[in-house]
Amino acid sequence: MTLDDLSDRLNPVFVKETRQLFHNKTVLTTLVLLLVAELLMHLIIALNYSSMHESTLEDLGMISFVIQQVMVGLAILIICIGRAPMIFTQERSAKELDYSRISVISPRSIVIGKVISQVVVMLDIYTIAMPFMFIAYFLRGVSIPQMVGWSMGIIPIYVLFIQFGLMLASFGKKNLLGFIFIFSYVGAQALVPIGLGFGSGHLGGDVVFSIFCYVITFIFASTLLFSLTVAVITSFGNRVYWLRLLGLANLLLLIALNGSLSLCRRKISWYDADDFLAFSSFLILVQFFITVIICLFERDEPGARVMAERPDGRVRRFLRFLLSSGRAGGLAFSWLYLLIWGAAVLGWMLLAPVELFLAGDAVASVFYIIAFYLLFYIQFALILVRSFRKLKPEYAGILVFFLLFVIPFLLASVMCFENGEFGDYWMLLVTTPVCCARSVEIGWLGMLFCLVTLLPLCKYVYASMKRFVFEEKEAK
Amino acid sequence: MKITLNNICKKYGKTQAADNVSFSFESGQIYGFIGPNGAGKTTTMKIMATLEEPDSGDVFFDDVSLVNYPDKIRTFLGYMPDSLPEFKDIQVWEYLDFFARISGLKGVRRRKTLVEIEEFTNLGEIRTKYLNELSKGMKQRVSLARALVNNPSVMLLDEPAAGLDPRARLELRALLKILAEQGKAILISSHILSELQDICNGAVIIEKGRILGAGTLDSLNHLQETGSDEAKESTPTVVIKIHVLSSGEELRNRLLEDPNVLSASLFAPGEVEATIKGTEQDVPPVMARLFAAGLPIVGFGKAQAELETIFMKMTSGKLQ
Repeated sequence: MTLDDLSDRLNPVFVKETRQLFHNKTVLTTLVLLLVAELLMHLIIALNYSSMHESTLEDLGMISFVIQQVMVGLAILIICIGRAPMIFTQERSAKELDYSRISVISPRSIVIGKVISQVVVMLDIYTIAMPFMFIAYFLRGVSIPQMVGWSMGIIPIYVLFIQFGLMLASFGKKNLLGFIFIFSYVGAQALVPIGLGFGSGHLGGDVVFSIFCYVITFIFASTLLFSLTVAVITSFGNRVYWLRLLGLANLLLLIALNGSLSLCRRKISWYDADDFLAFSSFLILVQFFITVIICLFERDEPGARVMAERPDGRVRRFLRFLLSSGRAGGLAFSWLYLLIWGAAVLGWMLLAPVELFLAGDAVASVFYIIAFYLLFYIQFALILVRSFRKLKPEYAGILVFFLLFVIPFLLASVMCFENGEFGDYWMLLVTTPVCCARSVEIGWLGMLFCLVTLLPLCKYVYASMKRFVFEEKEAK
Repeated sequence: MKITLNNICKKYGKTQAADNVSFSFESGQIYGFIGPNGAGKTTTMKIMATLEEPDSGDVFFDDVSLVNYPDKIRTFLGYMPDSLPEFKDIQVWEYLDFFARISGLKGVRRRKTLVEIEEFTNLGEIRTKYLNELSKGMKQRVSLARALVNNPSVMLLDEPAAGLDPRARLELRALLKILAEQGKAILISSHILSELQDICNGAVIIEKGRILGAGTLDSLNHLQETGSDEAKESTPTVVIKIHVLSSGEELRNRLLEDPNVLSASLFAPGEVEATIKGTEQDVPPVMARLFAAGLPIVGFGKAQAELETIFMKMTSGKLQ
């Protein structure tokens, strides 16, 4: 078996991108420059070593390591975070992406291929810098765990920036990429200490627990960016499938983790579990926010292709209905998502000890209530869109947001300024999740509004579901 | 394989790019797709290539619906767009290799296919050149090679001869004829009607998103002369061209006096085109009468339908 045959097992986009990378003069020049810069830096250190002050020598390893990271970051910025999205934008505007789609390759494979090829190059860059990291260790002032910790912390952030860049490139223009180009460099360097600092400081100083949260955040953000990019480059098909499927997977993963923490509560500090519940509720809310917003912009009924690709069997079809394009499926999915989430929070409260129950439910409940308000707004907007066919979804969404959130909030603020007693006007805020500030119990009105706005849509959702699940497939 | 477009509609804002577009062609045929700029050719081709979704209507490849099963259609479709390959930092063979891989070709089969295609499209000598170093003509070849990589049964070529020099055009024509002989169904959009005339079995004429005529060149010729399909079926005619040594005026007058001749006109000095009522069997008696009248006839034959003439008569040249 030749190397060429072996490459058949790899993603074709990965093979193509890797070939392009090694033909690119900017890439090769950057790698050579990185190597030369590292050598030069250590040459300068070696030449001046004898004349250095003792205090400088104490930290020389750390100084060397920091400078190395700045250079490595720059190389990753130019090659992976900057160049890859730029090339993707060019391919898209030259319609090469479209022509690639006239084949058996899926949008999912295209995105995976592009991300993996950049990650491999990023690891190559780290490999080039590796010998110099060892030199830094022998220069004193930095330990191997420190270097590994920093690298392990920053690599996932670089990966997320690569994914973010590719997602922007999948629909944006070149000038939009300038933003990510600058932001990613500064952002990636800043996010590691912020993330780990927040983790260890806020979550009770438990490093293992903060790393755990870090990994969860990475998985969550990575899958979200992946599914959004796939949704953008999918044409003629089930755009939201991966977004909803991975959203559901993330929800179940977070529920399982929270459940595990509750079950082994005697072995971990209760405030860690409590904070993790609040943290995961926030992640779930972000996922829910994106899912429910997209629901407004979908087509009224699933397209012909989605209908043709329905699996056999009613249960499987129903599950596919929840994950497929179409507003009705989106609404049903959102409700299911909320119900699973609610049941999990309830179950967690029952499993948790009393002190945890008292502390943990507030934040989780607020996030849960915000989710209901979001769904309430979207359902209201959908009623408007379905009643006034010429009204575009984006305008309906903005209108609802102004009517039910911005105007009540402004009115309440004005009253508050005039009378100095915000609490007297909380009734004005019942259509907004801000009312939770007064009392979490009032916030549950959001669920009531949500149920009321669901009523006019029930018939539509049921009809769409019935058509999807029970209607026979058309012949080829 | 028979490709049938069934009432395809596509609207961009207020512009109706395709308005109930319907026509069909099949394996072994080369059909020209002609129309003024902005007529809806590229939109229709993009729909057929699964790059755009129609607002309504469908395209059937035998009985496989494009709207319902675009992934199946993509496996036997070759599309050569009007734009040139634009990948950066990639050599010709790598570019084709990528398209072979995403078409599902593996190992020996992939390598063999690429060698065959490079040979067929004469790309062997430039296979290690970078795409951005190629001339427009060479890029066109690469684009054709890309469209052929999955051995498609149906090929859609959007302006394939644009920017090619005369030699490359001749080569392209020869390649297309070979592909049609291999049993591929080919639809070519082009502005160079003389190019299509020589290779096409039929044509589809489109203007302002609407199909004005579709079929073989002869049937289109009849259609533009008689005005409608119904009229064509009720009064069969034959068009002939007659060459005389004189100016042709006398010949034309003679022909107009003949009860079996529907029309006669001077096509060029010494060349008259006449439409004879009936079938080919009705031509000899008319010719016999002309010879008996002593006219200096040096040649005659059935007139080939001129695509350019048909196109100019059928379209008004208006843009949307």
